[in-house]
Amino acid sequence: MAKKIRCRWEQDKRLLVNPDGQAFPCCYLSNNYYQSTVYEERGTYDELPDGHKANIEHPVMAAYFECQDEYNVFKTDVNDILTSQWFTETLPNSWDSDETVHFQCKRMCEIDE
Amino acid sequence: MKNTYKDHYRRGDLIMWVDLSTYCNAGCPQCHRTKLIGHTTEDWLPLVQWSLQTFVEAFPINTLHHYARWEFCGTWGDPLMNKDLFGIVQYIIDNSTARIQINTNGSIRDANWWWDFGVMGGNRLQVWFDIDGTTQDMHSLYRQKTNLDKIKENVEAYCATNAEACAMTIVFKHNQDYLWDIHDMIRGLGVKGKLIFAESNRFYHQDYHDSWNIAGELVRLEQATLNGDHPLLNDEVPIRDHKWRKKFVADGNKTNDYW
Repeated sequence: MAKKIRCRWEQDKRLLVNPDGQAFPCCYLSNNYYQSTVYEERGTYDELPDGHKANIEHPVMAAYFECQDEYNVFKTDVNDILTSQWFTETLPNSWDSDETVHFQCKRMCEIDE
Repeated sequence: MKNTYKDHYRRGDLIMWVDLSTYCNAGCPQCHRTKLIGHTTEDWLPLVQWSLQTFVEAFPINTLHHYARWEFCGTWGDPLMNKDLFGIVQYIIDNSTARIQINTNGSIRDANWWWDFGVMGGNRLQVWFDIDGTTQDMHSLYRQKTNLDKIKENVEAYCATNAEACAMTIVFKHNQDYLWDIHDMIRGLGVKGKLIFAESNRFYHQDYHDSWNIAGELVRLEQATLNGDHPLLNDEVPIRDHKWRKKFVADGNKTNDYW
């Protein structure tokens, strides 16, 4: 049976906004991101567990991090966030292949087609 | 055809989950903001909260029609710790038709505040209270630093309004034999909404979880042994539980909504 990613939070129509204003499709991506950015700001990134680093250094999250202000509700209109490249292309396109999918998406939102 | 976030936004049925505060009054041992020793806040976590002004700036009045529901659950803190929560909820109530769902340990503020909050929110407000026992010891073995009597007073005051009250009970070995008693106590407080009983799924490597309170005393939580075999565990599966995938496949395209 073929597998595919169906984003649970998107299907539930639910968007998450972190305490720092960053918008995410789910807590599985956002929680590690929030902790990682705090460590990064404090210069203690190296102290993060390897799992956290792998999460944030994955190409999908690296692309988010690179333009993070574009996904922050304090800095960008929500409509612009939701029509941004990351939300409309980078993330959903990453689900097309095992090579590109983020492991949290695969772990939490992979279903039998 | 698959609906995307921008579709939901344009249709006005987007649900916004906002983490309004990283402050919390409790020290639940299996919460990722809690240190295992002392049940205090993890050192790395910055203590921040949104103000009404920042909320309005992020979500101006002319955009509120895009949202069907707001959820203030709190990944890193309890939303009731936000000093502007009343004003934020009132802003949504006064300027939109959206509903608001809040999850809290309920051991914050007093009965008068909860009465006013319920009156203001009316039937568009739904609060989920976390209640894990019928006695202080049973309840606070997990809900460390919370006061069951205070929670009961707050719940009763809130339930006397038109707002909706629901409750969530995390099931461990220490309370698994008292689920009907907890159920009856919660109903007796006036909670008419949904009750969810869910076994803790935060035992990762062993069937117990050790932490130490501020006095240095060992707090051992043991995994429930019901394995779903209890009438109160059968029909309500929390939508944010990892079991979602099974539920999703079983139910096809249907989502299991709280409301």
